[in-house]
Amino acid sequence: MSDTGGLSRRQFLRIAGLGAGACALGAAGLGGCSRSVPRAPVASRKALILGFDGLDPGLVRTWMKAGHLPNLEKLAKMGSFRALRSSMPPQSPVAWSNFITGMDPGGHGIFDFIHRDPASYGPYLSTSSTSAARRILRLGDLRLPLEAPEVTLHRKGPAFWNVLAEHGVPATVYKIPSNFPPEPSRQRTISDLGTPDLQGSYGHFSYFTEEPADRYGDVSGGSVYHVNLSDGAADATLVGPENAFRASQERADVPFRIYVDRDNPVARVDIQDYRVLLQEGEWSDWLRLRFNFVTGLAGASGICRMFLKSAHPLELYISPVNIDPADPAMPISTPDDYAAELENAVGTFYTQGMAEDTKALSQGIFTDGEFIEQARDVHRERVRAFEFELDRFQDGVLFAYFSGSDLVVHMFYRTIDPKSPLYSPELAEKQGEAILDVYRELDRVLGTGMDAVGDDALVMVMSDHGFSPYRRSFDLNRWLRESGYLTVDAGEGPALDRADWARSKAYAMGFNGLYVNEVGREAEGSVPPGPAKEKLVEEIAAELAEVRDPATGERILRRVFNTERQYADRPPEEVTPDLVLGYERGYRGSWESAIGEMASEIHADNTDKWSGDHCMDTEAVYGSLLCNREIRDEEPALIDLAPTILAHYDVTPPGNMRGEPILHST
Amino acid sequence: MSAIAYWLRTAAGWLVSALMSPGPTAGLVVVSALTGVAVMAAFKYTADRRALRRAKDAIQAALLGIVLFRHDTRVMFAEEWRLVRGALEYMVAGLRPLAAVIIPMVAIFAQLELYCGWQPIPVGESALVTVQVTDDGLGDLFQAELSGNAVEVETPALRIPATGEVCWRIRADQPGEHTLTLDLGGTRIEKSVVAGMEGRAVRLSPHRVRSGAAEMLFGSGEAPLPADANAQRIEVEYPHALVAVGPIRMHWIWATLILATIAALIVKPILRVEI
Repeated sequence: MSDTGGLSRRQFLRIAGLGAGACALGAAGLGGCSRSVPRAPVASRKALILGFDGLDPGLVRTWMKAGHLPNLEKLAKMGSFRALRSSMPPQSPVAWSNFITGMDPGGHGIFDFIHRDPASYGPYLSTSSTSAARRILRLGDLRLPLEAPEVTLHRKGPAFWNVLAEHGVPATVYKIPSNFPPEPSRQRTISDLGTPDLQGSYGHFSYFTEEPADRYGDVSGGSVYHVNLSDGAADATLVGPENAFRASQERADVPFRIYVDRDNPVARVDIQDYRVLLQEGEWSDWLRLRFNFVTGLAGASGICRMFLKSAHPLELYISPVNIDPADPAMPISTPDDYAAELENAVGTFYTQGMAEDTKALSQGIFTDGEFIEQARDVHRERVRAFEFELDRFQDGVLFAYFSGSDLVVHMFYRTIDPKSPLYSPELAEKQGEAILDVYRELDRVLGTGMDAVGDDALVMVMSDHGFSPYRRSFDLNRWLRESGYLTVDAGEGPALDRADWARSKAYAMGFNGLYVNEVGREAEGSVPPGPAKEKLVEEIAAELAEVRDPATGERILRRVFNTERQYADRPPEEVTPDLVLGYERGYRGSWESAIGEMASEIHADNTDKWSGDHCMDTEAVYGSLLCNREIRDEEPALIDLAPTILAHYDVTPPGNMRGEPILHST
Repeated sequence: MSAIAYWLRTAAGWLVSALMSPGPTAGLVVVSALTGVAVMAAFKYTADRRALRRAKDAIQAALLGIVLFRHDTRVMFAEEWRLVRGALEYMVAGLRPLAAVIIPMVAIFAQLELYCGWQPIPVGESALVTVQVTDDGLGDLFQAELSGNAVEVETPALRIPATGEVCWRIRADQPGEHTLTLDLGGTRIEKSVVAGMEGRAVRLSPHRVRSGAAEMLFGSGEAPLPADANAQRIEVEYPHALVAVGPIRMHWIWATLILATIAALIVKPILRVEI
């Protein structure tokens, strides 16, 4: 299969235009594709908005034509289908912040998955942070906090559902990225992408194996533990959250015992109140575990699932320990008890963002099939919750978020991209429909939603970005070093920890960001702000624009985005990168540069199963927008959606929203 | 002793069975109300009312003394001691009525636990079945087999020689009372298992064990395991049940205590009970 997502912007608009033209022609005989219905009173207006993360317009168009996506096709025929301009950079936390606030990064302050602390040059997750309690009573090794630790959402700007709340319009937002901890609200909301597991990471699995643990090397996103079975039994420990009640800050853990049958492919795990008997290849139900900080006084409840990959030799995967929705250790919903209400209604569910365990697949813990099965479980949980909300949806807005169209596509793009370093006809034969299967599932979700809300409701399917193959990596820190902008001393450890800042002018952090080492902003700045910095930024941007991939001779960057110029009407933020790199399709910044490290080569093949991506240029990865109303704008953008939803309820968007309503008024 | 326990359990079993017949919720309310009434009746007919009155007066006097003489530490301590002594006397005075009801109550509550402490395996869901073998049965561990009617044994056996256990996971596909058959060293042993039957009061037998006094009093009534079998215990891991009292879900014992207390407070003035 060719790079089906690779329709050029012009091709796409032509196809979309033809579709619109066909609609216009058919309108005479069929009453029109876009409906013009008298508007219901505000109090009874309904809007169903489905957020399909990463839904790619090229793939949708291709599979719609092949008849695989009847409900998406029906929706497009009822109204419009447009490519949707994402954020710059088109990364999920940034893009979803655009959607939520109707603002661009210069307004909401999220520029990347990863921001850097200019005082330490260290990375941190951009959307939230946790600060420990400052007032603490110390009793020997025991530390009793006299105040709650603070979890802060860094995204600025009011969410559209809170603007709706001010005007009396109810909204339920079932899972939303870039909203952890949830923005205070009277509406029902529950957070997704950006919600950590109980360890405070984006998801840290545990893997217990009889194989030597060092066989797996340095595992990112998980821990591998060696277990020694004796007479068919072994003791092990599941590591949980940091214990802030101890001076040592050691992690709280839960001991457990594993029994493996001598001959049969079964094992039993005895952990707290559970005795879980699993056959090879089976998943457990959710287990609710208590991690004690101070026995009987303080602890945290977490949930996890187990997967017995193999009994002989023993290979047991335990999912990241998620925040328990029935008893959340950190805020994940508004009102506070909404997560528990959902749990009570539809059963326990993943609460961490990026619940599909891509790391386990990348690290060779999961096979392709095992990952797909786990991703399906995540999807089934979401469908259950969506259907529950749909059943009680009377008026206002119902937003539901689905992540499979992002994370499965990240991992399986290699199956539909013949130019991928990992592509093979055998792989395509075996797993070539993995992405299509996800799209089909989402199409069914849309069908369920459309049937339930009726014809008068506004129905919208949107995605934060599309997809591109990720074939080659570009290591920006290595390039900066070899171009003389960054001086790194020899030695071990992260590159930026070894930087000679007095002789360094710029550095990379995040997937698309480049920062000047600015005097007064960075701790050891060397470039004065003003003309010197502006000249440097122009110089680096010009050089980057000319960088070509030595393997293909192609330019790797479509645009280099000067933020000072772009956001000139707003005061500069400390977190704002000075340049944002917009990669061409097929190229992306390296994993190493994203966290301030440096790869061994500037250009390298991407041999990770993470083979599709969207951290490119906005125009390389348009998102999708399908609506049962006519969209008047030929090139709508994510920031237009919040004002559009508000306009549906006759609410004037707040002044800081940059987008415009895009639907024809009816 | 075993015979008394057996008859007590049998009587409690009949009583609870009759009371639970309208359904689990109604049955629990009736049992709780009768418990409250029975405790009040026991206090009326067996308690030393004068001793109770004396103890209560002593407690009241001590409380009054504490309020009036809070500026005088010596008197305060003396009154606090009188308060403790009064409370102890009150408890001693309450022992006789409690002794009168405790044994039947334990027998009834043990039966109630079988109705309200567990719930049948939901149809289509799984439960663990564990067999504990005797020391003599360790040799049979690796030949143990489990089968059942209307019950699917989902997994092969997991044998644990160190603990003398063998377990399987079962799934019931139809509601009703089914039978599991264990083949252990050529001896066939049956165990009941219940699935579904939502909304009905069902007496469950989480385990079948060898005969014993405790089993005589607290057991489910399922026949003890045969003496010649090499099994010590067969256990079906039913899901725990919780009772909804308004918006709060709790163990049935707390619900019973709350309801029994309400019933006792209602009948206290009617029976003119001194407590």
